[in-house]
Amino acid sequence: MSSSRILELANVIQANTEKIDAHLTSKDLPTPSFAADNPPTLLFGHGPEIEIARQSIVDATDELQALMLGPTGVLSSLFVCTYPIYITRLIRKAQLAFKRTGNH
Amino acid sequence: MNLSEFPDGKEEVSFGEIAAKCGLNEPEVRRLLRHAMAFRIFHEPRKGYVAHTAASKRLSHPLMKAWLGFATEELWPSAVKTVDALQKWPDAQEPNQTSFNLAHETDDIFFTEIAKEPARDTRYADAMGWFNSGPGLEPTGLVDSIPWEQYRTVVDVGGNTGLVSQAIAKKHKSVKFFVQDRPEPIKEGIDRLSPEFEDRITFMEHDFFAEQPVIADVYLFRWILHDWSDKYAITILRALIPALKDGAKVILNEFVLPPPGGASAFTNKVLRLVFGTSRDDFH
Repeated sequence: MSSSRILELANVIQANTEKIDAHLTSKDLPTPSFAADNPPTLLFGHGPEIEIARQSIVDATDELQALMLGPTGVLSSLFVCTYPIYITRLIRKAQLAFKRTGNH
Repeated sequence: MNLSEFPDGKEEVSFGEIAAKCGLNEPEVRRLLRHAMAFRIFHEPRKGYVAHTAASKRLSHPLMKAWLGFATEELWPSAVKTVDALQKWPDAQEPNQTSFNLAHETDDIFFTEIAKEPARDTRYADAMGWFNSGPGLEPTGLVDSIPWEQYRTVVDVGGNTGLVSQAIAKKHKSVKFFVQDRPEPIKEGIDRLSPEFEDRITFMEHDFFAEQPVIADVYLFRWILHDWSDKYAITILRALIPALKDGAKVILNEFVLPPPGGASAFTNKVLRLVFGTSRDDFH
C-alpha cells in the first residue's frame, strides 16, 4: 500500500465520510445535499466524534483539491473564489429591492 | 523587496528581514504572510522564518507576475463594482459603461485607459500571454482543427503581440499573417518577433472599427468579440465588408459556455467567472 500524501488524504475522506453517513442513517436523518429542503444544520450537534470527522473531511478535501490544482491552480483559485463576492452583494441588493416593492 | 525572489539564493528569510526590506512593520508582514500560508503560498518551516512552497515559487514566473498585477489591480477593483455598474447602467451596451469605469474613475474604455501608461499596457499583453499558455487555453485547437494550408493570407484581427499567429505559423509554413492591433502591442510584437517568422508575419497598427485595409483569405478573431457588446461586435464585423472577396473566411475563436451541469463543478466556477458574457447556449 502506497503511503503517499494524496492516498492518505483520500483515505481520511473515505473513512470519515463513512462514519458520518452511518451516523445519519442510524438516526434516520437525510444525507447532505444541495436541495432546498435539506436541513441547514444537518451535520451539527451530533457530538465531538462526528464534528471531528466533519472537520477532517473539510480539511482533507481542501488539501487534496489544492494538490490536484497544482501551484498555478492554487493561485488562480484565489481569484475564482473571491471575485464572485459580487454575487452575494447582488443577492443582498435584490432582497432589499423586493422588500421595498413589498414582493418578498 | 520582491517577495518572490529571496536574496542571495537564501532558502528562508525571517519576517523581520522581509519587514525591513519592505519598509513595513513586522507584525503586519507576519500576519499577511501567515494568511498567504493558509493558502499554501509560502510556509513557515521554523518559527519566524518564511520559505517557498510550489505556489509561492510560481509567483516569480514573469508572465505569472503580469497576470497577478493585472488581476489584482485592473480586474479586482472592477469586480467589486459589478453591482454598482449594473445599477447605474442596467441596459449597458457602451464599452465605457462598465465596472472598470467606476473602479478606475474614467470615461475612457479599458483599452484606451491602460494605454495611458506603457507599463500597464505591457502588463496586460503579458497577462494575456499567460492566459494563452494555461492548460486548455493554449491555441492548440485553433492550430490543429483548421486546414490552414488551404489559405495563403490570414489577418489576425486584434492579434495582440502575435503569439497566436506564431503558433499557427510554426506548424503551417506556407501561410502569411498580418497581425493587427493598437500601436502598443504592435510595437511589442515587432520587438519580440523571432527571426524565423520575419518574412511571414507582418505587424500593422489598425483600429478594427475602421475599414479593413487588407484583402486576405481569412480574418481571424480570437477572443475579440467577447470584449464587446452586440452593438459593437456587429460594427467590428461590418468593417470587414469592403475587404471581403468571394470565399473569404471569418473565423471567430470564442468560448461557448456549456449548459448548466455540462461542465464539472470546479471548471464551471472558472468558466462562469471569466467568460460569463460569452455565448451561453442555455439562455
